[in-house]
Amino acid sequence: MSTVCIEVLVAGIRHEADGILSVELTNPNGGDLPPFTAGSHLDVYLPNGIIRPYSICNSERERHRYVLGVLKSEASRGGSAWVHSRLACGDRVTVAMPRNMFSLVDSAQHSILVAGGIGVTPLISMSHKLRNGNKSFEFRYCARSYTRAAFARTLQSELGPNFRLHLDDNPATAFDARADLGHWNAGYHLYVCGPAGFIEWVLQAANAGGWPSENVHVELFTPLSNIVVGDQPFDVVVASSGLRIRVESGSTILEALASAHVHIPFSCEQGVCGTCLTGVIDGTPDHRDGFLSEDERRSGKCIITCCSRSKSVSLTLDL
Amino acid sequence: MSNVDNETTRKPTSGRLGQPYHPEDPNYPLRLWWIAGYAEEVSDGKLLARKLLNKNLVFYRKSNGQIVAIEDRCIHRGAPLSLGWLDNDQIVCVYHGFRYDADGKLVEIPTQEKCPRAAKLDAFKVVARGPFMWIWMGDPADANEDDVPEFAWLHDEKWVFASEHMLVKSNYMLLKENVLDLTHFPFAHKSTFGTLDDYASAAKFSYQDNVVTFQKDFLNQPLSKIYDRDLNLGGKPVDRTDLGKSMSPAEHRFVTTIKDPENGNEYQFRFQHLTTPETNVTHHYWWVISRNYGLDPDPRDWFKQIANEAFSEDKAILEAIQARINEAVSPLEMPEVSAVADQGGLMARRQLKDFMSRDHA
Repeated sequence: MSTVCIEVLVAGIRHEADGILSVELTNPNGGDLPPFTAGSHLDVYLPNGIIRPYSICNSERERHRYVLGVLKSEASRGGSAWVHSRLACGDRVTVAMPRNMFSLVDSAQHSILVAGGIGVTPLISMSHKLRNGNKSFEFRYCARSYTRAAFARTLQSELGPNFRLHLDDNPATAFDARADLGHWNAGYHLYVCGPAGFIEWVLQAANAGGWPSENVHVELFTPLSNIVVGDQPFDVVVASSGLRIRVESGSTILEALASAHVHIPFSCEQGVCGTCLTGVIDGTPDHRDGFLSEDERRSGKCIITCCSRSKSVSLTLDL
Repeated sequence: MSNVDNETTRKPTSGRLGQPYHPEDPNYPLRLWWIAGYAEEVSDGKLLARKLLNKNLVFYRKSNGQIVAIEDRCIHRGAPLSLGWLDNDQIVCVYHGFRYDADGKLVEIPTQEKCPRAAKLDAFKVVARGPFMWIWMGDPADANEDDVPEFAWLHDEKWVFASEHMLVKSNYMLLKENVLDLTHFPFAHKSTFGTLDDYASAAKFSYQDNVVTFQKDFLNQPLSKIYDRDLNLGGKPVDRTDLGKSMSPAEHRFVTTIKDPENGNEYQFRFQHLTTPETNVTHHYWWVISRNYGLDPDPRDWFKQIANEAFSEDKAILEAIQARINEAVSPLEMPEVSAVADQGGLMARRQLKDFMSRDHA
């Protein structure tokens, strides 16, 4: 399975807040870009060889551009640091087709969007869609300080009372997650995006408020530095022998192992039947299957080898 | 780590994935409320015989209206108690007149004073709720009546429903997997539901909190004929969401919600598939069709017509599959390869495993 990529033009770069730039990408031929839905992200193939996912924050109705928000991360190994120091207007960049792992539920009666820092980006796109559809929603944006709250000004003026800004350096504006998510109502959906610790805090409040898991939607922005995104190559290691095998972009773990004469039973080759399930001893699986339970996925201790890949540069399998 | 497996079930020896239902192995949880039938089937003074979960049972109503179920077998010499009669809330065996109370205790042997203490049959808790009666066949101490499903819409005046029973000669899981993969419509139902090619592409599946769900959205499209009958929106584009849920091994519900964007009106059409194993290779199937629109003229005959037409098509296929399993020398070695659309059915197998593991908790 290969990834379809397109070339886009950097039409603009704007300083949005301390440490945050917005990057506007357009079609170099001037026409429409491939469509996206609110909550989508783009895998950006940076010229220095790194691939990074960035959420699209403009309205899905805008067919002529993708607007991304990029936070300069202290732990950056060259991704956001490169964008902040080397990217320039007029540059051409390769991106994968927009992918959505964080979409709105159309039938929601009321949507609550909760953003932590740069996690605000996909939620801005969602707020456009909800507003255009006259849907009931509220937007909570948690940021360290006003000078670091990118897009807050625009959100405030466009959304009015539906939008609330919560600043860490002003306790009077604090977001009381436990109180505000304290009582789930049928038809209510929650969308959370931001760093892991922030998400965990919000999810705990939602859990305590009786939110069913199918009404809570999460997109995690990880600052991990050895992350492998998309269909990039990675290594698998056979624990019993130490044999290290490369899994190329167009290959699967199952195929790569088979070509090294390590045979795992398989059947559907679509990730739904579980026959090729294998234990993971080290590394972070990138689950793409339709078989594992949420608990199994989170545990990171097993993987469906016919279709899933790796988030870390190497995976050690219990073989 | 190998395939996800329950150690107490048989595994295929070839290592290849095979069809998982062995005719000799029960594959149902006991710690679950199962449907036993329609409450109205147990009428005053009559004994109803029915086999559920491999047990022959006899049902009757006490004079206070409560429904009772005990083993349908006299502990004396094995005559079915259902051949006997009811007298004063007690069953009298047709053979030698042994009498049992509603707890299954032998209370009289006509020709002697004492009843041996060992003469006790299993009795099962039965709860009537809505049109159905539900039975608990696990440890009576674990039975919680609050867990018996309500199906509130079946006694709501804004809804109309029809329901019938079918005895299907297949393991019940075959039907549960059938209703989780609607891509069979254009083929199995080509002359009945076949026009619904809605499921030409797969739905979105998930297994969370022991419930298997699939969802498919049909946005801004004219309604299929089956839903439009008596709604008469014609070719007007509406939003429709299908939500299929296997709530437990006993219950599946399929809810179609139709929203008219012009006036915001919402309508619902539901199919419920309620299954209770009879034996390892046969099952009771109660279907319920309901909707909250088009109550007049009465659509129930039409519900029965479409149900009988379509579900007999499923029945024929499932029974043909089961017949092969029954005659196979090694039933678990019959190879099986899944498609993406089988995700729901495969999740239902995990759901079953999770429910059965509660029996050992």
